[in-house]
Amino acid sequence: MNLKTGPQCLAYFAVLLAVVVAGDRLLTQRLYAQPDRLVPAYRSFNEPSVGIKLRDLSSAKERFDTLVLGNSRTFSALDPEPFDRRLAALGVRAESFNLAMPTVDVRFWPPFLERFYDRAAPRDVLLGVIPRDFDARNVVAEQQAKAFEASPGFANRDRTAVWKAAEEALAGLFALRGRGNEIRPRRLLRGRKLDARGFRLAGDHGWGIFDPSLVVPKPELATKARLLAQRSGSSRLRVGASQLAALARLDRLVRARGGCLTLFTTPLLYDREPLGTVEVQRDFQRLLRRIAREHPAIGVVDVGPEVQDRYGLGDFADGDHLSPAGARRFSRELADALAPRLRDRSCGGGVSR
Amino acid sequence: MTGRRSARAARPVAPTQANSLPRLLFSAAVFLLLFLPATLVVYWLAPARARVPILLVASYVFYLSWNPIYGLLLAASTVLNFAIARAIPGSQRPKTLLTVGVAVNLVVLGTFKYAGFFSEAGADLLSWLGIAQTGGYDGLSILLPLAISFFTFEMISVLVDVYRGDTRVGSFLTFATYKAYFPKLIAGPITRFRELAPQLAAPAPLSFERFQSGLALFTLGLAKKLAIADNLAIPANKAFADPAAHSPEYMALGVVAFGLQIFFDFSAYSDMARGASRMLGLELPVNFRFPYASSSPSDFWRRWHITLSRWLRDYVYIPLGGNRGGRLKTYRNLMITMTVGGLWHGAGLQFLVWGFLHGVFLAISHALRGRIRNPSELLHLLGGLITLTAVFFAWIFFRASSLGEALDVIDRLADLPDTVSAPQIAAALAAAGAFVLANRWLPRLEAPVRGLLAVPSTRAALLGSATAACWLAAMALSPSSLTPFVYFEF
Repeated sequence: MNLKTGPQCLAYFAVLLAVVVAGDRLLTQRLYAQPDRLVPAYRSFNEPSVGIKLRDLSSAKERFDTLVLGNSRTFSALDPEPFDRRLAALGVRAESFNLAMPTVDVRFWPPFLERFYDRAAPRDVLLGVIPRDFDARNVVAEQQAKAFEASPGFANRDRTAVWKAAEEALAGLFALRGRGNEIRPRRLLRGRKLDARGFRLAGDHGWGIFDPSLVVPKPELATKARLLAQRSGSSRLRVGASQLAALARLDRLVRARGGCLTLFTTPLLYDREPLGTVEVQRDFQRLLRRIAREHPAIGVVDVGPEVQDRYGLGDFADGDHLSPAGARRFSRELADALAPRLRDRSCGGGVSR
Repeated sequence: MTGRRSARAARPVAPTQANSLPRLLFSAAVFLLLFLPATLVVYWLAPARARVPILLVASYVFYLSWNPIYGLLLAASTVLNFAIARAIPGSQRPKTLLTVGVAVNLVVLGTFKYAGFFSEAGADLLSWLGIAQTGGYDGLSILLPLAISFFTFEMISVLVDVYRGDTRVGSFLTFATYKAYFPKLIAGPITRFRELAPQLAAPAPLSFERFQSGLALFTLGLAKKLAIADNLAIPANKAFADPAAHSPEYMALGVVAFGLQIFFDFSAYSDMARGASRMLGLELPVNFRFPYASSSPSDFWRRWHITLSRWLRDYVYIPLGGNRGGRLKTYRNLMITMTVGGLWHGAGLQFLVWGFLHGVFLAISHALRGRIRNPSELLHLLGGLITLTAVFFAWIFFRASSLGEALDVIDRLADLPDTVSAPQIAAALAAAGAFVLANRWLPRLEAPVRGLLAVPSTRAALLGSATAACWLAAMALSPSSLTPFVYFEF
């Protein structure tokens, strides 16, 4: 090898790489609201916030003994920090992680825990539920589950730890990679930074807050609440057999790992979905009682109207997702409701408020 | 046999599901920042005689990363073909040896690639004849070794070339490295032994200009793949996933998106392969030359997947008689050749139809060629529009997972006249015309760009900034998921 040419080529390669990495850094810092929350392409999921959440979970040192599952409402409703702190004040030691993912329903979780979740089994599993989770017509959740399983993050779950670490370190050089779908020219023209729509992870225990652009302003929230809350309609909850079977499977799975499953509901200002009528809510509460009856080992904490009424406009980001203030409040109140059960180490206990 | 069922046999078992190693995809971080730089450093720092063994080891590491079990097949095929290629020149019966060699290669390819397709078709035939009840039989399911179609064609070309006396196989190391050479192993360009072997025997010394242009070509491919092809894959996949769920307009958009995706995806792979190889001092043949600027189907196949076209020409079309037996025989030979080309892409009726369609297009193109003398620019443009429409129509069969699915897509597109207004059709035609024109003009930029790059002072600055810009564009515009190259399926 020509002694001059070799180093020249390598230096050229290195300089180019440095320029590209510098350009990458410059662009991410200038354009993105969360420049360092990278999810490398090899482990990206259909929802960017889920990718970040799963990375936080896999890199966390703690042994989480309480796992919070559910969909977007739970994602925004349960902040593990005040939840754990309140429990500790009540004499229960817990280390919880909010693993809720947008759009999924109860059918998502048994296969997830069996095929993806590779950490130590949690002592307690809390599952946030809404009427849609049990409705036979809910095809969106099925599509979401399929999209999750089709994403690279799921396909690459069996990689060895060494290679995962290598990919992570190398992919970390390019923070821009895979963020092309966040580009919104209109947003940039308005001088605002780019971010994945939906949730923004707050802290590293899985709790997420709404993208500020999606937060409904208070006057609009009040108007919509007047129109949509407590509305009647003809639709009724049509309970799906596959959802109930999945719940039973989840219960068995959690108990086989020595834990307990508890369902809980979250406060609601209004629900603009077709299933957001008072009739469906009543059907849903009947269903929760039926579940508690048929599955004595499953506990149910239902936010009744009396609890719900205490939540004001400031506690909501939109009709059915809590704001950070609402989430902190709800997390403390859920801890109050759950503390006796968790302290006694007893599964089940029927429906409680 | 129904289209849906043939799809199951046509799509091989996904080869990479159970692998815990990172697959060395050209666009993956491990390849870009670890494997390629490490190979380059070790290769160029090593003494000259150690370079070919280094390439061989690197190529096997690359291939084994996809699935270690494939390595056995690659090695066995190398040893067998080397033995036959060495034996042919001195043999009393070289033709027998050639026949055995070609047959063994085809049997291996057939077993891995077509066993499912033919076993299912056979079961259907038995069922139809009333000899056996095989309802619901899905055909054999065999793990498809990556790149088997590419290296089988390369091996056949070596054996035939040795038999014809066009080339001689010398050292085993050179032969094994030629076969496993990682830049072109998975998806071509289909390289002839006589193109690569002399370069391996006496690698060109490292030159900064060559390294620089190799890196530029590689990153151009990276940008085409990540920033363009992977984004086009999103509407194309969505449209083909469920044709009935989309409007005819969306389906048309999906077909166009796929036509563009496959060009950017496959030509990106070829660019990356040629770029990586150039950085190692080895030149691979050109595989694409502005194919959508073609003014006829014959022109298209001189510009699209050039190394496959010439393989089919030299080892199928000409041995069949080429254009020597009169017009009808020429048409027959064209159709057989292109149908073989279709079947090479995949075991499924849809690929057969795709190849056959191209055979028909080429026959028509041949028939018209003699009648039109000195075509005007306007006629070229019209020819380009018709060729583009025919090629994009044929892509429907190529992209669909079964013949039935392709027919579903066409069924949906047939509703277009009811849903599209005359101004919309005019706009679409204008867009297509502009696209063809732009494609026809693009090659004219080559000469001025080459002129600029010939000046050493501007070359470094231009290539350097273009490389950095391509790399950044690839990172900034890529979607969140990493999509394998389309041709990895073949």
